[in-house]
Amino acid sequence: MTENPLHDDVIAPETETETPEADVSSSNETAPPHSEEMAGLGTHIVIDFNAPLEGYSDFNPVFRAFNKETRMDLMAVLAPPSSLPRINFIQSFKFMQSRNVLRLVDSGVVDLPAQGREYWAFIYEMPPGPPMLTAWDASIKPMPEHILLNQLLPSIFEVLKEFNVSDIVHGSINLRNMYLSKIGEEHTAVLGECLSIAPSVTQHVLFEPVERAMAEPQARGLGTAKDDLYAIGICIGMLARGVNPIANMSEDEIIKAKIEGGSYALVIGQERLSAGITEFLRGVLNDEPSQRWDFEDVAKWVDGRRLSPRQPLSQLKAARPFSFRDKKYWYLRNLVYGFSRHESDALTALTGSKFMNWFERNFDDKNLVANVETVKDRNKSVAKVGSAGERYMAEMFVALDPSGPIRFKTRAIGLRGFGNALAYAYATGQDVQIFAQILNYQLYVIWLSMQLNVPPDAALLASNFDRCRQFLNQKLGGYGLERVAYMRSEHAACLSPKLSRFFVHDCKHLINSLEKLAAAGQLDLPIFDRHMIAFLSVRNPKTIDPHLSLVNANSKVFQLLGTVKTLAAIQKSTKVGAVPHLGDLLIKNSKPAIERVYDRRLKESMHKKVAALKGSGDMGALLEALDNEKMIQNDARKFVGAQAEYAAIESEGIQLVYALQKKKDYGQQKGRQLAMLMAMVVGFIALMINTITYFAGL
Amino acid sequence: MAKDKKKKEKPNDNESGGLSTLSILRAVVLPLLVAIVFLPSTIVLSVLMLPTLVAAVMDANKPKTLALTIGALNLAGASTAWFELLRQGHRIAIAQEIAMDPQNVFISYGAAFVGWFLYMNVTALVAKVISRRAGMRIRSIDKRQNELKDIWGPSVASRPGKPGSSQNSDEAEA
Repeated sequence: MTENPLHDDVIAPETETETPEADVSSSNETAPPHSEEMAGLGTHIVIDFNAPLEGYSDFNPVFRAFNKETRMDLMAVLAPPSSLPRINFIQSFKFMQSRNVLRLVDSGVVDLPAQGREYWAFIYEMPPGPPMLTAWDASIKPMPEHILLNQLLPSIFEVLKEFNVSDIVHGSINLRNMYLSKIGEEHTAVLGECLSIAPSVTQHVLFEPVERAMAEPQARGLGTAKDDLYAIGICIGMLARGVNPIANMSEDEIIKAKIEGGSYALVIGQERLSAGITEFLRGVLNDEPSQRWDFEDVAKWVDGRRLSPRQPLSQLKAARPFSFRDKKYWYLRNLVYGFSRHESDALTALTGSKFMNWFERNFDDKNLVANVETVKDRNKSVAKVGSAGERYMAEMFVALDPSGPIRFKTRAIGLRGFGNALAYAYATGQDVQIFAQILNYQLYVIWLSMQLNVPPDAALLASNFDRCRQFLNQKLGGYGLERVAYMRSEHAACLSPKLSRFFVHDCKHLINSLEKLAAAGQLDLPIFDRHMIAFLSVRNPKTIDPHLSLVNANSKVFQLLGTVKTLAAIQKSTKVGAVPHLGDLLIKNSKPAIERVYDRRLKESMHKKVAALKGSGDMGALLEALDNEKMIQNDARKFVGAQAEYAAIESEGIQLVYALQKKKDYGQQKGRQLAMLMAMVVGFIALMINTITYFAGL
Repeated sequence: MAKDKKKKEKPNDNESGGLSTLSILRAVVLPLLVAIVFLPSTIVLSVLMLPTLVAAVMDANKPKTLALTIGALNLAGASTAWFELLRQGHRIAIAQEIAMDPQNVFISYGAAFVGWFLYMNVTALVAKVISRRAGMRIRSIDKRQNELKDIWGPSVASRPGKPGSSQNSDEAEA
């Protein structure tokens, strides 16, 4: 049975809650969590937290809900941020026409009063009955093949057709998430929900192709239509035979059986089924991904065209077994899987000559041999101990089982599930350094370069991961591993520890959550932590990227200004209402930002303006009051002028004081000159008069 | 420029090294010849311009403002006697008579005294005015500096063009 990785997030049904009913606030996050209305739809949906619904989800809490107007019974699946619900697919899912999938009535953030935590609530119509498999290990009654082929399969295919059109992968098709609807003699299958949790996380290894089954549930990532078809194939096979391999096999045994005998054999065994169903099952359960039927193949088959599925390539089996931890391994893939479960012993085996000799003698697959040689060459000058040893092992595992996940230390992470696994690790407080090491060691490059069937998006994947690696090594807020998590996991909500009781899926909800924290007095500066910065930078770059340098500044003044600018941008772009408590918190801490202005009169005016904004919650106005660019520039320019004036008059003053103190005859020189001038003028006039008198003969 | 300066400085060096013939001729011989040729005028002016000579000897300032102040008015006073000499005939006997005439001596020396008086009082008065104005300017500078500090804060006293190093920034950092 699959271990529940989200166990911590599953809430026990509250039977003594103070508020027995809570309303979904849907997409209108400005409404309080307990709003009466489902905004935007005009429906009145109430979740009854006193009525938990058992058996519908092992991971997320499920409650009864109902529509107040129509009294229609509904089912509410509550997803915490750690479930990484697929919010981006809600719109596509809501407008699906098929009745053979649980219809999504509405969704939105809901506050669970008993926990004081927000969840994303998915409101579905009630399933037509209990799941086809009430427990993973429950027994199954066989169904006649004609019902499977003519009723069940077409009903499922109808849903998959819509999924294919909308480019959605269900990711959670199994008998625990499938319901049987019987109207008269007509049987139809209704697929369960797939939005409340990241794809494949809930999936038992039985329903996953072997290469995905070996990865951790949260690290499998989004699969393809082939993976959905594979899961359907397993379901049909189980129903056809009426057997449940989970009942008597562990996960490891199932994986081992898939490797050794193949998926078809695991479910059908030696039983002979009709040609039609056998053809379908052999097609969709083919263990060679390139040979497995895709949607078009199944469509052709449904249309009546008979295809002959190719036999899967036999798994690499050795002529002699390899002994590891007292077990004998014939299959290379099984051995690698065994190695990955016991890494400390695996390193000894991988670095020893015994394993290499065994490999060289038993396997002549050129690609695998080339892969192994490449890894040996890469690591020939490195002592294979410590982290170098771990790296060597990870590379060797990829070389030996290229289609498997990246197995590093204790983790098995599919490249496409890297982001979800990282986001999940953040959400559940796990060590995330292993993800940084995978990037820094460029294990994704190794994985991509060693694929026997190179994925069509290999170049895109490589370039995306290269970008992640570049961001990882930048220390500034908004970069680092947090950014990688949001880049690689498109559904991850903001995983900031400060926002742990909120479900922040967009910037609008972020500002509203911060407002609630500020109102409760639980928020302090700096408001934005690394998670919030990275979340905004990835999801809404326009709101924060122009102010990243300010938000990351060491100066508290610039940090505050960056915060105000970002919040103002969010408020403007989302048209969210006033955030008075957040505004007041910033105003309370705005003194240094005002004190950076030089002009006292301007400071006083700014203090008055800012004080007047108390309680308004208008970030734009606060920004205008604190950081009017023209005003600040003018102030700086005038200050420089004032400095120059001060220096000039100070120098003049010093000279004057010096002259007065040191020169006793200060000013006498000018006095002498004036006296001389006066004497010369008077003398000249007198001389002129004498001269004129003489020549006039007077 | 430096070379030109050196070239220009060369003749000065020669002069300082010793008086050339031409300069001796110009400074001593020529005035002496003029004084001998115009001996009556020389007698009158040398007697009546005696205060200027004393002032020139006593005045240590450069330029000799005391001598020039007294001399300007002394000359104006002595000119009356000199024109009288010209009028009566430019002869030595008349020159002696005019030079010894107490009225002429009084006028010339009186004018020199007025020059000295002017020099003493105007100099002191102007110095006092200028000092007072300087004191007022210092107080005005002090006041303006306080005003600037009041408006812009103590950081205005830091070096211009470095607002970042100002106290405001430090406060902001704090």
